Amino acid sequence: MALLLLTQLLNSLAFGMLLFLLALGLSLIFGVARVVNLAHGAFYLLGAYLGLALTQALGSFWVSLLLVPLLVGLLGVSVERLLLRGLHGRELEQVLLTIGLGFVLADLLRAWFGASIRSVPPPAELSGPLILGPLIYPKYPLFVLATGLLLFLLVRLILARTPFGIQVRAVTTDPAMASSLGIRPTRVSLATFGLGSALAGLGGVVGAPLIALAPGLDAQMTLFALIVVVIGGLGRIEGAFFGALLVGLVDGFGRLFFPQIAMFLIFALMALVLALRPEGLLGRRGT
Amino acid sequence: MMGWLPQVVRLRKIHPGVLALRASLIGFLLLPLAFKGYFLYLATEAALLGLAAVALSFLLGHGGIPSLGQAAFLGLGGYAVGLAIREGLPLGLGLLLAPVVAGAYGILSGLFVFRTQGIFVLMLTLAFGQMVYSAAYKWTSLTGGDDGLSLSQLSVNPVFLHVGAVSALAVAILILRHLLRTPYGKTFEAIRQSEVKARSLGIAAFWHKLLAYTVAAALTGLAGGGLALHRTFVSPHDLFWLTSAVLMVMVLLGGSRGLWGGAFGAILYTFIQAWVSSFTELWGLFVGLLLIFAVLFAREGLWPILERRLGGGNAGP
Repeated sequence: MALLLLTQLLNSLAFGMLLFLLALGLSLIFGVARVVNLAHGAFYLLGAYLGLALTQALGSFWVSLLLVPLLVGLLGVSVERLLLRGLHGRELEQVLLTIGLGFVLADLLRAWFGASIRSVPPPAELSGPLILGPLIYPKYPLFVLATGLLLFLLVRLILARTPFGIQVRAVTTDPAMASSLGIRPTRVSLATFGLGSALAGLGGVVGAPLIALAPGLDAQMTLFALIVVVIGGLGRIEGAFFGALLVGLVDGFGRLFFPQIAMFLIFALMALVLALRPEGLLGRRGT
Repeated sequence: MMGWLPQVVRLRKIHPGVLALRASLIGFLLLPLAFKGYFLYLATEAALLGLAAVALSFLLGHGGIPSLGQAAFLGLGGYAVGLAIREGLPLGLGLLLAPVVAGAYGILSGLFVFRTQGIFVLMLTLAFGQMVYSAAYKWTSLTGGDDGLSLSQLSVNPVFLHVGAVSALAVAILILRHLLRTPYGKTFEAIRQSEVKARSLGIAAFWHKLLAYTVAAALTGLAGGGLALHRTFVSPHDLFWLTSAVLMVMVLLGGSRGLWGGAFGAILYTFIQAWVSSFTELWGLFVGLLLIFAVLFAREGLWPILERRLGGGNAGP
């Protein structure tokens, strides 16, 4: 029983870290560009399918792990530049546009890759179990866990220490003041959009061996990311991190103990947080 | 001094051109009664979706509430009617249950949704909408899960259903437009324009929005019940947020202000969709492109433009 619980704990944390990658991108983009990117799940799915195709074509998981975020990031940058820039300041229109984009992407992916469920094998180096005394656990979720943690620390460091990070924080806090101090919000928001989309693409590549690819996964992932940021609070990466962990744990243990109503536990968690702290657990008022 | 007297005569002139335009919209919906067949089927579909779109237009255009969970109310209404019939309840009771169930979920989710503002409202309505979708999927013993609910043993006269749908649409538009002229409606609009200002004047913005949301939910539930009878089938796929986005497309195409635009958008969408689906399977692609198009180019929607053309430029919303 203890082993089962430990296994499920690791599974939940790995899933939580995957959600973190998604929610991080969503949260960064919202903070800087004030756009809730509801095509985020579609970017994730695009990353996953691109990763699958590139891994098959090039024969290396690691190359596609590098290439796919670049490609998806590029797509994000062009979406910001070509479609969203013209709607600056019109929140609702921007969100609706990203929704439309998400449907278009998801449908094109389905037309291209088919509607069947694809499970992706992990790369050879990370397949197979790891034996730790009595615990036998597959290596791949541990890799996902490590990737998430690493990125959390890395992005925190970038935001805290680098000039780009300081600009991002400045624009998030007060765009008008930031621009009067010589920061160009448009440039920062373009870069953030690219970074956020790249994170979604990375999430797709990393997540594909964990969650089988199927049409409809994009909407599910968008929804998960939304719930995470509602719970954790938008605009702060700690919010995304702890929100994702919480949702991962509730989902994992919910599936273990109450498989029928696992999804509702997450919604109940969200409702509870909303009732007590509408701005999210780590959110700030007025964002 | 005589403020307590009911206001019988309203001195508000509607330009005859605009009136004719609105009458011709209803007339167009009644036209298929002469043709029957597929044309009638599509027109009933358009009228029922129009009812849902009008409810969304009331929320979005007049209350500034961007609800992306309307599909849930449509579905709740559908399942209410479907289950009532499966349990052997009379049809009238089922059609009464549809708005009640949807309205109840509107109150319940609204209590949470309106604790937040702006774009969060959109995210939360989406989340609560998807919750109903996953419930319809998972709760197989009640809803039939993926297989849906079939009502094929039921036969409602299509002409009867159509007349009912069109009159429900017309009555809903008239009632909601009247509601917008009452003090409640004026306050509701004021909250959209500036919630902070409205609140500082002592207006309970939360309850005003919740009431509007509940009314819209109930109307959408009624539309969903009608759709269940019309299609003689309730499928969980129709509860997916694609349907909510479709309603959004209708409202944006037709114009979110003035409520008639929602109905016009629904008609436009239904007939375009019937034409498009004859040559492509890529349904989401079509909806997505239409949504992007509507956002980028149809700034205020088509209906207000038509009304201005015919109304000599001074037609009110």
